[in-house]
Amino acid sequence: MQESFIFTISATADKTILGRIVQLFTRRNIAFQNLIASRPDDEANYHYRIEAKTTQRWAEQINKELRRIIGVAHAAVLRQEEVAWMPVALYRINRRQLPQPVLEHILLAHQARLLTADSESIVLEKAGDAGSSLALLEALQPYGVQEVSKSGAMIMAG
Amino acid sequence: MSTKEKPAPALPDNAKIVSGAEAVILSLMAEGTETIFGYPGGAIMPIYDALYDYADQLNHILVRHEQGAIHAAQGFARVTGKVGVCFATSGPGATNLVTGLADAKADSTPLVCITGQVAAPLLGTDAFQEADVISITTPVTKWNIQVTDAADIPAAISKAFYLAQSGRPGPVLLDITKDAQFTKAPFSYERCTEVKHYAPKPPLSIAAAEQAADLINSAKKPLILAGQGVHLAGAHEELLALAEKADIPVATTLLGLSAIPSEHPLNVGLLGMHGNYAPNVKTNEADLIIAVGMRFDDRVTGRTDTYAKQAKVIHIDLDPAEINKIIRADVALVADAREALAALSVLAEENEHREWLQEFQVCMEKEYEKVVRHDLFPADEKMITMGEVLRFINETAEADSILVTDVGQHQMVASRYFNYRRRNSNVTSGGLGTMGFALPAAIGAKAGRPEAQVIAVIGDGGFQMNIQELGTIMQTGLAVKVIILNNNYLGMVRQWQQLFFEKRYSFVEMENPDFVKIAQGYGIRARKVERREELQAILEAVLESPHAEVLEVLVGKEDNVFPMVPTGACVSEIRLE
Repeated sequence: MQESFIFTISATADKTILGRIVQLFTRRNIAFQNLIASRPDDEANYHYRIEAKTTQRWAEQINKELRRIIGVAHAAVLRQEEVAWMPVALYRINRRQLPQPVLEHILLAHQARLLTADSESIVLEKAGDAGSSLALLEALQPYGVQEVSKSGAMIMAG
Repeated sequence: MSTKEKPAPALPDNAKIVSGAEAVILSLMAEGTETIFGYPGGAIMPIYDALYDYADQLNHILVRHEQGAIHAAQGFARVTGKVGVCFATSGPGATNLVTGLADAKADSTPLVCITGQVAAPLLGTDAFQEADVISITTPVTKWNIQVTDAADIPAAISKAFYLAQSGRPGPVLLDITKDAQFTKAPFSYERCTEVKHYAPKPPLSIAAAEQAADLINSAKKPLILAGQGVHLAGAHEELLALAEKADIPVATTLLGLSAIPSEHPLNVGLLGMHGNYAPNVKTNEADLIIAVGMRFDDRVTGRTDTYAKQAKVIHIDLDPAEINKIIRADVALVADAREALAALSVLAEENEHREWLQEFQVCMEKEYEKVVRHDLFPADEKMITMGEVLRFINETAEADSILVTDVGQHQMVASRYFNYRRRNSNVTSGGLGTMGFALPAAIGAKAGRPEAQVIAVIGDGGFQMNIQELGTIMQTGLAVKVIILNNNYLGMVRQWQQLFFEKRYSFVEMENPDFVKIAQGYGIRARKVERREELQAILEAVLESPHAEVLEVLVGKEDNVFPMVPTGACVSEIRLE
């Protein structure tokens, strides 16, 4: 049975490692639902978080093969309920069409925050699951949404 | 000195300033490399130029195609246990290595391949003979790296050698840009002894070994499956010690052949699709399977849902990713095969399994009557069989001879009938099944062990896939014996079309050239045998000759290889006809 698994990988800053990670999935015809690569400022290692739908058997096998990649310091496979995860969405709105009182109301009602603003547009940020980000989008649509960007899930293992 | 310039690093006492190209050569020599297989071209010319000055210290074998270089390096590595080294230029030179890299990855063969690359400023510009070699080779290498700075070359090569041969061996590729080859940098060499986060030799769990020993001591019908890991770990003596002490029959995988001498009383034959009848049938009757350095390849297991369900399984493998991948282990020993077998041979009790061994004997006799007798001693009216060629080879070959096979019917026949007397005397393409492997691999094997007789048994299809390497034999004078078993068919495909595709022979019949004339054109002695009465004498002359020889033997066109486990069948459903 297919289910969503979260793969967390910590690896040295080797340019070829992401390619090696990706091919373990592609060779088995498994698509990513989400991929985040990051390098915390205070760490030498890169962190990769991958969400993919597959069987438990393949998830376990891929995890073992991730561990044998030269340069991988740590790899683990987890189910969604075993991780803290949250998508982040950004919304660019036409500033002129969004009155200040309405903006304040929306920010409060949807637990969003104002990220940047200039004379033409403002950018709002919202962390939350797909339903809550959609609700915010619907609330903003009457005021001219210019662009929406979603990060996929930010994941914190364990 | 301007403040923007980097201060010169403090040089060790043994450091000298050399070009990146010379650093490549010096690094290889520091690793003990004596033989390189390669083919020059634009982007690797600085390395070849540096090699010119060291030609008296390094033996470079000029092949005729880069695929030949890498298969030769594989043959060299397999018979010597050392790292095989090959050179190729950028672009097509490098891409021609890909099949060999995949083959070496599948068969855990230690290689260091060095490719030239366009100069760093040209990377990504679609420059002449530029190919993204790192991306292309990532899935088929254990590790690869692009080097753009001459100063990084010694450390990269040192790491490459360490990774290629430690843990589960495999191919490693270094892609070195042309400017890095030209640039001068301080050279000093330090052998790599560890890589961060890499644990090549996991410690043996004594508790797991004791559990395994308990299973061995209580088993009534144990069976050892010996794979390539026995060779890689040099665990031949430990394997025999365990098998003989506990009286356990030993079957081998294709790559495990020669892990135990063919004539050893506990050797019960070859596993797998075209292996022997007894070990396949008895796999599904054994109460304990002891898998050593093998990975339960689908050619060995057949249908996995019916494979050895009655048996407990002990799986010994250095690579944790192989444990439970195909067949679930009751006890896993993630360890070097030599260490694990040494521990088990101490913990195992002396035992006897006479009745169990007798059951193998009964199966062997059945196989002999149905298959072996007809293969080795065919009726007079039949054309020469592949099996009888092997029988005559066994009668004539030297005791330490090495058999190199290609892929197809002849491979299975040769693997079944060759008398392996020496460890590491089997060189073949196992996991990837690469036609065209044998001719260059035999060249590499002969270069690695010039004192040994190297016999390459090849089909007419595979021979033509790297036939150009006859030129390498001509130029080097390496005395390889090439036996072409010619049935004018892609025989294994034809066999399957006959058995499973209603005899619809779709593009398998070969109209072949005159192999004798071709070999003679390369200055190689060549002969052809069509009649049985000529075979033995000519084969003796070929094998006893001090020179390279090509012998073409016309064999039965539509002979089939049996036994056979059909695809999707379980191993105990092996067919004898």
